[in-house]
Amino acid sequence: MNCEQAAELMSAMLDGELTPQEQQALSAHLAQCEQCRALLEALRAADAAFKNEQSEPPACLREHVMAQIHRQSAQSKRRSVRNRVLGALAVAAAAAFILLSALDVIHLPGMNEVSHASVSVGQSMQDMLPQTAQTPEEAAQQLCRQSDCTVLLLYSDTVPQALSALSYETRADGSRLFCTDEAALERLLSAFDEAAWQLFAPEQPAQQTLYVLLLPASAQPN
Amino acid sequence: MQQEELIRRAQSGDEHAFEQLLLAHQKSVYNLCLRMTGNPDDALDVSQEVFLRLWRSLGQYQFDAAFSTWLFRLTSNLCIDFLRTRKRKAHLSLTVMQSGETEETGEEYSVPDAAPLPEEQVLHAEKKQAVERAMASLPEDYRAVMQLRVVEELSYEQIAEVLQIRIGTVKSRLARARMQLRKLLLDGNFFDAASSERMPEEVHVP
Repeated sequence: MNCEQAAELMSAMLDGELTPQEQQALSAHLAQCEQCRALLEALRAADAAFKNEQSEPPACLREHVMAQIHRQSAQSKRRSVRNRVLGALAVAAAAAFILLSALDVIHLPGMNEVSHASVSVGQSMQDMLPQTAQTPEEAAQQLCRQSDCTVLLLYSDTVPQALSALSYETRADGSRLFCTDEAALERLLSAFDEAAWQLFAPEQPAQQTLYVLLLPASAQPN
Repeated sequence: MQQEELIRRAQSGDEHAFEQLLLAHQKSVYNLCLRMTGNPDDALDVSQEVFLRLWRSLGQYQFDAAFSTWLFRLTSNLCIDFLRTRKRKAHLSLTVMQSGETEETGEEYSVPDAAPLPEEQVLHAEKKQAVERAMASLPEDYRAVMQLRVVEELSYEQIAEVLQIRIGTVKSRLARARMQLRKLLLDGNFFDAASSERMPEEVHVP
């Protein structure tokens, strides 16, 4: 074996990929050739230098990826409810309505002109929803069955700006009935990025669809 | 928790399990991207894309190949896509420069100010610079096989699978990469900085 042949085998030798015959021939050459031994050492050093040249990934790699994944999951979850809501809307002939209670937590343009009782969500729920219900979820389910309407339960700390442009009428119990179209509902759902919600829809949506929007007492007016 | 269990959970949408997988593999992915793209900004961008793609396509992983090999293949493919786009962009901007008005200045690499260093650090910094320069001069193909073999310790067969090349190509590419790296390090005085004894003169290599 000459030096050129030896040099060709050195890389595979470092990787332990030589056949026993090749290994034997190369070892024999190395034993009597100082220059090739030095070359092999230089290759080893080059490998070590390459291996040393590793970097720690920046922390923002994990942060960005996880934030985006979280956002995507939340979006797709929201989208599926939105599609169901919009699907129900498509069946309804005209405008949909959002029945909004718990006026103390909602601040809307013109709100100061209307005197309203400071009621908690629970109290207004009792005014609005079936008396026999124990929880908002049960109440929404009952309302859904009894009135054949779609009921959307939405929990959020966000005050819905999406409602601010909508016209409404104030009802006897102090709650407001908002008139909304498909685009307004879309905006409303988008406004609740991190909201938790539940949708109760009848098998056969009625002509007019009613949405009940519930806000927790912890929500603060803007 | 075992990796297989983590993968199964992540496949069913468990974000926390996916985060554990990311933490276990981000260094390997990032460094392969760093070798293939040649700079930290691009490496970060492509690495993020790798993990976002992984999240979406994890369901396709069938446990038939080693997970790391599968992940490296995804990484390598995205790096190659990225390099193609970058070359196309570079080509476009070159065309624009030729046809358009004069460009103010060419792209200049700013070298950070060398603050005075204690003597023992100077040697280390010189050595590091020599390695960085050598690495930058090494072709992308060579850096990829070196990363997968020397750092990740994949077999020739696995490297062939990741890069979708023949085993013979892996072998010859590694041999040429090593010889070239050694030559670059020699020219960059790496061995001088590394030790006082001189390396023997150039041997003829194929």
